[in-house]
Amino acid sequence: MSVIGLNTEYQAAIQHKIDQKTKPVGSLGLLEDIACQLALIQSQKHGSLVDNVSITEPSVLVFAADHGISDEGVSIAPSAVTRQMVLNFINGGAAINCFCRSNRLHFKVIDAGIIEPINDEYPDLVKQRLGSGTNNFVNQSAMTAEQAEQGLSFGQQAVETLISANCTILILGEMGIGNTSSASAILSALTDESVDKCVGVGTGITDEQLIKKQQLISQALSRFNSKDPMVVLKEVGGFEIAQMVGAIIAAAKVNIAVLVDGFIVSTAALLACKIEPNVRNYLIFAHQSEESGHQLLLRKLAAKPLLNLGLRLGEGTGAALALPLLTAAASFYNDMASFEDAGVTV
Amino acid sequence: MLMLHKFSIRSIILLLALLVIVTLSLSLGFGVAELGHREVWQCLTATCEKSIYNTILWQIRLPRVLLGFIAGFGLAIAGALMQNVTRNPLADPYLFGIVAGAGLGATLTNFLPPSLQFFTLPLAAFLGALFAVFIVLMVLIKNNWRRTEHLLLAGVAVSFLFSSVTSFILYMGDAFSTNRVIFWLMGSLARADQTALMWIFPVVFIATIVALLLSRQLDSLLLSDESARTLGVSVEKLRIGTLVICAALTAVIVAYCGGIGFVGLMIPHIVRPFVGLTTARILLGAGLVGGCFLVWVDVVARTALDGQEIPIGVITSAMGSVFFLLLMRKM
Repeated sequence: MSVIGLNTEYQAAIQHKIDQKTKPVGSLGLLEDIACQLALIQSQKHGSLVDNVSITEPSVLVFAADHGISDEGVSIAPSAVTRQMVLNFINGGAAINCFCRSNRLHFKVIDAGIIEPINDEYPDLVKQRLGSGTNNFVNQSAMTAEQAEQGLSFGQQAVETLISANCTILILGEMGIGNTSSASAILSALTDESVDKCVGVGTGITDEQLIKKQQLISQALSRFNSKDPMVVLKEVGGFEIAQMVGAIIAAAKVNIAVLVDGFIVSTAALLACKIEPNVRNYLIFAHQSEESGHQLLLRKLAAKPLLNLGLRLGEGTGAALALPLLTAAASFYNDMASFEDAGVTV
Repeated sequence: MLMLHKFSIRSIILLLALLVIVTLSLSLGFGVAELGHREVWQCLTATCEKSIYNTILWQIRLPRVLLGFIAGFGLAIAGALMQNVTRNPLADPYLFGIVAGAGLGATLTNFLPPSLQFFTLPLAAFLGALFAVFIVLMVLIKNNWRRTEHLLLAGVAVSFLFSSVTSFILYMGDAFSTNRVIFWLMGSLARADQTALMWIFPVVFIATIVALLLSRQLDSLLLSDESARTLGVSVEKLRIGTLVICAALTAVIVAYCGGIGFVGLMIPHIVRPFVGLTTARILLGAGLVGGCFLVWVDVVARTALDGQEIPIGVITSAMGSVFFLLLMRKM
């Protein structure tokens, strides 16, 4: 069973229902697209046209891992910060924790391979380590083909519990010092866009660091010559990216919509679409990040992001902030009166 | 070379079919330990333990195994055709200047202005390979095919010419692009995406059919040019046609997989004692064995070194050269 394309036989009925609401046709803009997409996904799941779109158990999974390339000094912070932030997530002190509380979202952080493991057990921490950080991908493969495959499998594992909890929206976030380098390299390798266009300032590096980052990524990309998503993932990817690719594919297989956060999660989404093209139907893009590569990537996926707030944090914050818009889209689809119901004639 | 008549053709066909099936199914089981042979078997016979295994199996492992099989098939039949058409046991599409031509094409892509970006590396490599073949054929047609050995000699000369131009450009160029071309030249099945299969499969398929249709005429060529002529075969046309088929086969495979040397040289020699000399038999025999061979070489390339993938061309060339030397000793 691979990811199947959305059954478009319901499309006309869903669009008709939206157009019959008491509003000018198309006047709710992107919310209409979202409502239509969610209705299609949920109709697919039930095997028949659904009357109501439900948003149940929306859950945030933040994947954390370390990157060998951060040894080169291309980030504002050292690798140790990844682990410190994971502890911060566990203690409920990070930005994403606040947004989860304000929007009533379930939250889990996944150790996909930070350098130093966390030994204690916590209810919000899932340990699916692929190693102690990736290799520095400038001169060698970031990970082995086995680790990449295992990453996909772990990604599915993380989604399993959500499936049994009847979750309908998966929200992905990430934490990993150095992972914008990885994301830029993946984007450039998959799309043939020049490295300069794919590399940005990350969470805020200097011009000198930026030039160095571009050079290192060019060097890494000259090591291999492939557009194959698994090869690209293995060569320049990250453990958290690998697991997110698996999570996205696994969610799409069981008709769960995926709310995609910023640049790094979008890169995982791009990889997932290259592996299973039908995954694209299940993706909703939450926001457009400040990172220049993200804008390029969104264009490549023909995505219309919901928000543009100048965010460049990661952690899934943009996606968590966009969730109320999905709830609003569901609510107008379910409850708004049609012209017939309201007796309005135009 | 001695013929082994103890195998009937039926048992050979059975053996080859078995080899192909075993190769294709077993090679799928190499990768992450969690998805090994037992789990692959479960996926094939029932449903997968985890739905992500479907993706790993069908979208990731299968295309690569298929590409390896088809590339090996194509290279081996190109080698078998060349050996039969030149009646030279050392003929190999790679001695024909094809790889050097492809390498030059690949190198030149680094210097194209952005407006010519549609000349991607595979396309440029393909054109370079065809250009090399064109030069070799021109030389031979000019001297009226006085000796078929000239084909190999001209091929070697063209190889050296193109390699030297490539080396010069790489020497002058920047290190990153040099890396890119060198890694490509070492050969890999890592480009195993849908586009690669989409281009390679039809070419290999059509070339195989055409070669099989020509097999009776090619058989007559095995005797000698004169005998073939007396049997009503137009030798020059047949030879050029066959060489063009070999060129197209090799060029398209080299374009996507880089330099995978010596498969075309050694596989026909390995199968000849078992299946016989006639073209149709050796084509199918060499193709199937070549395909299986490359699949297994790729398994070794993927798994031998922990964390690194060995370029597949390195392994085939190393094995091929030793084989070549042993072959020379007997001749």
